[in-house]
Amino acid sequence: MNQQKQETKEKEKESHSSSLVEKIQQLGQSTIPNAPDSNIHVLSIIGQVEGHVQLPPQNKTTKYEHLIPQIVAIEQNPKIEGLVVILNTVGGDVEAGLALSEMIASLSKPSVSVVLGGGHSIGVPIAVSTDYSFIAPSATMTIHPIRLTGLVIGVPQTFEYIDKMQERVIQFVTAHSNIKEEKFKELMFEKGNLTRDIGTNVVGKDAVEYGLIDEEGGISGALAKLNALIDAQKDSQELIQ
Amino acid sequence: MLYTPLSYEDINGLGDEYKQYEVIKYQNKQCCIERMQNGDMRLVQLLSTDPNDFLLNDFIPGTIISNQRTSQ
Repeated sequence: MNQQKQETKEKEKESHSSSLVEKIQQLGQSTIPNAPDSNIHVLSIIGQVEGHVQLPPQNKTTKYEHLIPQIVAIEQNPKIEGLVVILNTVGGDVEAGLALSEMIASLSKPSVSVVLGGGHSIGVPIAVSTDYSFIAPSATMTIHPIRLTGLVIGVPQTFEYIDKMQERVIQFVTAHSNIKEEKFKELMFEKGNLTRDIGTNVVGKDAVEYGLIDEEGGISGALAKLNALIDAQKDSQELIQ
Repeated sequence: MLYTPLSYEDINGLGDEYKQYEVIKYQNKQCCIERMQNGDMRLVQLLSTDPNDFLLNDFIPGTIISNQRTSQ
């Protein structure tokens, strides 16, 4: 009996060492390094921001119901230390966009946004909702008034309703960026910049000049800034303790 | 209410020729998939905030997920 046991043990040892030898032969090392868990998570907001109404399938959309639980998970998971928001959006649902903006703005963890390509309309409050924002030099942000599509009842109350919706966007943007309310409204109601609409198409450098976005740059700048913000937050927490 | 520079027609045009995508959970990650005629699924988009997930071989867009693998 004992002999049999010893034999099986030896066989196990042999197979274990042979698999190890195989690994060393194949890879030149005994263990394959696993990528460490990232302490930074990325939220990409692409296409239309979809809210209460599901958009027809030819639209590329970012769905509100996908992003909200992800933002909650980022706040709740202690291993995640920071968030990068990448935007290339043509706008979308006002309330879904504002909800996302408020969620990102209320995160306790540092966040940085990067506008690539375009961050139009409702993309503007999302871009400014983070602690620090970047815009690629070639990226643009269209700032224009909110308008109604479909059946519109021509009464003063309709105008008041749109005005209130617009006010919510303006308030959020001016509260979370360095742009003055007058300047933002001026850009919003400018004539002659857009072919079929009133408003302004703000290009990267100008967005920084107006105070809408903090800095011109790309992903390397964003990650460097986010790491600096994470370190600063860690230092302040250590001081409190 | 939509706030976008696109026109109403651009967003709400006829979209019958476009395929419907589905969102499923595969290996504990949310994925947007397209159903193929033989019952397999083609991965269209991975919905994750973890940048490392996008480096995994199993989640490269276009990967065919067979029905047997999801039931395991």
